[in-house]
Amino acid sequence: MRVNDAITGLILLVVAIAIFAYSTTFPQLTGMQFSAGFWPQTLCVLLALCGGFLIFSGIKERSGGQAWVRLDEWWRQSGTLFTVALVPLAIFFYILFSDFLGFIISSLIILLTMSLRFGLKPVSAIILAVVTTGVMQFVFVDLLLVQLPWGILESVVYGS
Amino acid sequence: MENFVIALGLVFDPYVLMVVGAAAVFGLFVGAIPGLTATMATALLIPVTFFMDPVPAIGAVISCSAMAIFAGDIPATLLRIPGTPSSAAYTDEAFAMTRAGKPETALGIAVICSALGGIVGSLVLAVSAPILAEFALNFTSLEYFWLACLGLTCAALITTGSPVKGVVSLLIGLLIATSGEDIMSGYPRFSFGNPELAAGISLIPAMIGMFAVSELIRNASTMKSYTPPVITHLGSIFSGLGPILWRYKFNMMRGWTTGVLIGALPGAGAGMAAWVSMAFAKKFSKEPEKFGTGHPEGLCEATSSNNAGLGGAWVPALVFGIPGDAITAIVIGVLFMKGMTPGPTIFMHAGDLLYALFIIFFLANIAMVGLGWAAIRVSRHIITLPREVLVPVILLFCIIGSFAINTSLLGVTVMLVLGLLGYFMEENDIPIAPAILGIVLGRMIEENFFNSLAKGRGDPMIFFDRPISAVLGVITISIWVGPPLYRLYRSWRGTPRTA
Repeated sequence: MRVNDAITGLILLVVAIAIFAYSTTFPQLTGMQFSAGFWPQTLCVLLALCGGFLIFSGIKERSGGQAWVRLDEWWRQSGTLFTVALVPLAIFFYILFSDFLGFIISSLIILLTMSLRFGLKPVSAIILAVVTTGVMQFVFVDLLLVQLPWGILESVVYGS
Repeated sequence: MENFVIALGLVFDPYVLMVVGAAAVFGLFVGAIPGLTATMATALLIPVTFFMDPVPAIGAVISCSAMAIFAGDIPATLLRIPGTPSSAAYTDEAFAMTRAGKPETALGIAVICSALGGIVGSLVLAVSAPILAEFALNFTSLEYFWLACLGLTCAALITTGSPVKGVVSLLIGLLIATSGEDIMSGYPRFSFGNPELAAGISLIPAMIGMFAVSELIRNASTMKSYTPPVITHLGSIFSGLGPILWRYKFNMMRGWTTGVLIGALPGAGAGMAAWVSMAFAKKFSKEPEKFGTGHPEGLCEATSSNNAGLGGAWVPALVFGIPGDAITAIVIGVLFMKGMTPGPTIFMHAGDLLYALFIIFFLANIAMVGLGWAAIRVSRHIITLPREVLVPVILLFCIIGSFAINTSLLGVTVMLVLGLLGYFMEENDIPIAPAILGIVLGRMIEENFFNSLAKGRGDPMIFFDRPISAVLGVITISIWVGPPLYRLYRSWRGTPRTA
């Protein structure tokens, strides 16, 4: 998705103003010359200047006939749009449910859903999900000693 | 000498050699897959190296990045699809050799020139870094402030496309780095009451998000239109190679020089070194008309250059703590995680570890010939791996990798947010590398700024108090204000005067 520079500039300007305003609430300790917000505020001023420049250049481009927003072909194909959205959705799913479901079940659901959606045959998708989850569990939990969440399987593994 | 002997012991440990070898195979694998970059390979490796000792951890990064940059040449030659951006400069030339029936020669040039370039880059690193470090021992916060400013300025302005967008990317990175405790007062900035956010945004999930997740979104968007390529059987890659390399020896030497110098420039990296070398090869060639027809001259120079650039990029990273490219930005993150603060004192405190890294640099590049040959032999299987398998597996690896750093879902959330941001930025020609350099150097630049001001009791002229800092300051400010003033002057001269 390509947007006209003026839109990017406007977003940057709004973000810079918001961060600047929020960082004015940071305290200034007695005896200190600068508050904790001084550095982010300086960066925000520079970001706002860049935003202003992009708004200016975007409007100039726009007068040359450029559209505000240009979408790739796949944005108009609902199937592909869902396929692409599956990448961030899978991460979001893990953030929401991994504590409850645990790593193993979350991983199986993510791998199965994605590989089936991408066009893998069901048997291959199941093999991929099981093998990948097993390898990840072995590498991170057994070799690297990372505490991946067990979730609802905790009572099965350790007893209730 | 004592350090060197200790270093030999550290490197020639079966565990270290196994880790370095496995990372090399991983680098070859990721680099050979079109669409997956050397930076992505390195970022994906970090969660695993996080749990290792410094030598195997950083050794793994060295061998992985060197192999990935070379492996990018394989699909570039066989399919006209550069495996990594560093191979893009000579993809057309290499593919023209394949069309002319000489894919083996092109791949042979790639593997040998990459290995030789890498060895020269390692040599420059091993010789120049300690000398520069001795010089840099006299630096104070003033010089470091200007050096970081200069590095970030180069990173923002060198990037292809609009310099303003490079600066935007850099400012985004610097703003991300402001989260967490304020250096002077200890106040938790942008933590919104969350104790995890008060510790600041972790570098590794940020990098995995910006480099890997954004790439996966792009891969998913082309999933339907992607058809696995067909690759023909390859003969011996070394036959008839000697005379070609001998003929273009001066090209290779120029490629080494260009690669090391451009690699050391913050923000430029191996990709830009290859582009500049390709342009040099064509400009100074006696047969420029042969370029584009499968002529090996440019290939010899550019493949030498991009791998030499890798060693060059490590020089400012180790000596000043200022990364030369996105890969060394990741390395600086790893060094900090391992308690090794980059800078001149690292040569005094961890001399044996540094020598170990130099040895691994040489070993990796020597091993590249054998491993590269093997990778080319099995390349048809790697390149044709189905996307529907790769994307979900890599995504899961990203999730677990981001989680593992702090065993926290905050890392996964940071990865998601910055992955989407990275995708939007790249779609709109805002480069990602300056943002990563901004995240890495943000706190260093802020700390040096306030420490210097404190030394000068608030007087900003302190930044020009010492000769080296004054010179660095003048150079940096000239780069900031010079081009806009020149543009204003030109537009003023170009405007017809009405009286």
